[in-house]
Amino acid sequence: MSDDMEIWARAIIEQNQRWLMAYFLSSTGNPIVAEDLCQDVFVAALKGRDRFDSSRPFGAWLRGIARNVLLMHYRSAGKAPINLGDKLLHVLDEITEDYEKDAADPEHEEIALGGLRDCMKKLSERARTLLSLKYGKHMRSKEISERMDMKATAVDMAISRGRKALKECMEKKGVVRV
Amino acid sequence: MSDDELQTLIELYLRGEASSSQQVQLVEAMEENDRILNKVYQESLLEHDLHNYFKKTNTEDLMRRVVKACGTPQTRSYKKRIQTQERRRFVRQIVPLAAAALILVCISVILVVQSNASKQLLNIDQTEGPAIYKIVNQSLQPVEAGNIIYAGDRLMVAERSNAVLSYKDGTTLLCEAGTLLEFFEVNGAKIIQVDEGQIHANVAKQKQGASMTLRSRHAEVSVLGTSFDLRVDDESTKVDVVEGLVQCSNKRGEVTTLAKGEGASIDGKGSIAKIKHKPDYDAPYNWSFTLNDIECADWQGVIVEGSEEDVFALRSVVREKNEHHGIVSSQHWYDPRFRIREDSIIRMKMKLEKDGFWHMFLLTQPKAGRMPSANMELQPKLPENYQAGEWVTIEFSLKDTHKEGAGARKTHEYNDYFCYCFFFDSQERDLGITIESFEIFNPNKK
Repeated sequence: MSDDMEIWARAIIEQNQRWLMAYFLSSTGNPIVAEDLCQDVFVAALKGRDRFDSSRPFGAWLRGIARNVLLMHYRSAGKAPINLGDKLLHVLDEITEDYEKDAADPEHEEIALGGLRDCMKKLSERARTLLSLKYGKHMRSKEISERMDMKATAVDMAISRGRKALKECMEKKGVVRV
Repeated sequence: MSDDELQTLIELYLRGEASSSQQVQLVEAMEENDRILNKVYQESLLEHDLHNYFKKTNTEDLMRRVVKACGTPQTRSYKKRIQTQERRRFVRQIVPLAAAALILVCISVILVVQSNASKQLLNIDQTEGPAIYKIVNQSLQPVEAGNIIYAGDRLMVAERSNAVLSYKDGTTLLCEAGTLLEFFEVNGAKIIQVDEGQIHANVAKQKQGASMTLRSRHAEVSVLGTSFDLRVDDESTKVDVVEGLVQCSNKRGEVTTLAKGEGASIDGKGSIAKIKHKPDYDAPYNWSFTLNDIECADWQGVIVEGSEEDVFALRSVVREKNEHHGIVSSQHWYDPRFRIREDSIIRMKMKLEKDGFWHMFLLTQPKAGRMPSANMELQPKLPENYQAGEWVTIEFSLKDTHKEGAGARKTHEYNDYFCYCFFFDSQERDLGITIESFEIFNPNKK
């Protein structure tokens, strides 16, 4: 891989990873699969970049690849996990297009993370710890409940409340849109 | 569905924790109302941001995997990461040179390594996953099964990958994801520097006076012929002996000997905490439990708890709409030294209330949530003359019944901390699978 191509790779990953991950997470409900599909899109885009028509929007091209990758996944995975139908996929494309345009700002991912960092400071220490165990350590609620001496349902509720507070805070900052 | 219920459902879905019926419920809700899909998408963005926030390597991890799939990894991030590792290594290894004794040891090691620079030490027998590299001149060079490791080589087994290495004398090393190693040989003695990660070593008998040595920043482990596990992280080095004897010393030179079934943890201050595994040392090769016939009609997606005595209850019943799978799991029964392998055998006593196609998933997951987790989709067969309602005991090996594809991840060895087993009736009918007993063992230690 040439240096030029590596720079190109880094640019498209940093700029498009967020909306693409959300696209696949929404359509598969599986973070591991979503990550794999995201990788497939970037690999396909890098390998096929010579076929990209520079007179057309890059985001639309990438969304087209993403849709094909998702449909291939649905075909190979069969009935399970879930399979969004044509109508929902069309709606998801429209939603994604909207958010993909935000990615034109090369700093958007850093802005989102910065917003999250600020909002995280407003949470209680306990909420931060619970979120850290869930998202940083990938622990299940039962494990967290044992460590924190809480009921598993209380863990889920506290994490949900933490997410809600973060979302509201980030909406105020304009990072997450309603 | 109330807003709170919807929110809970979406969160479960995005974490991959929603059951099949919950997934269907959410998709139906999205089909009825487009705005719910929009909400799912927004929550997905937050989910991604949270993962990125807490696990700061997400982007780098993806970058590495993409680069690996596209060609030789030479990105600036790689170089930066390697440079950082090299700097840390420099600090850890060179600063102690102030001690005169250590200077002599290091110089002698360096001289011997240089003299053996091109000596072939190990063969890479198996690799699995996308990211196994030799570190050559601060750059990453992908390796695969069949490649050779020479004296002085550094090997990085990154996330979601593992590798099996072997010496000519039959000594084998299974290197888990997140392992960084360097290999030497001094006067015929094998030396491995373990910077971080986890390896499982099966050491053939070594010549007297030429014991194999594994070094970490906390400890040094010497063996003449044994089987053991070694884990190194920032805080400590942990050793668990499966067979034979292992001599373990800290940086102050204090030595302790560990026998079969014993382990030790050595921290950065040099304190050695010895651990004795209980209750019996055959446990690593065999686990089983009896399943009481209890009613669990509403347990979809719920882990059935195990008691302290490692007795587990399962009745995989399909009583209500879309409830077509059951799950057994444990955080107690699974001895971390037990390795579920492709040649492992499952024996279970079961009955079906109706005839039909069914299959099961076996999933192992590290306790601390580290990657890799792995799952296998298995399709064991019932006897041809089986009739619904009869009890039957079936026995099958994982490798014979493992179904490729369908999202199943195949690895050659499962040695993590706890394990789930799911039973599915893939046609979503009420098969009524009842499992009375369930046992896994490895044939060579049966």
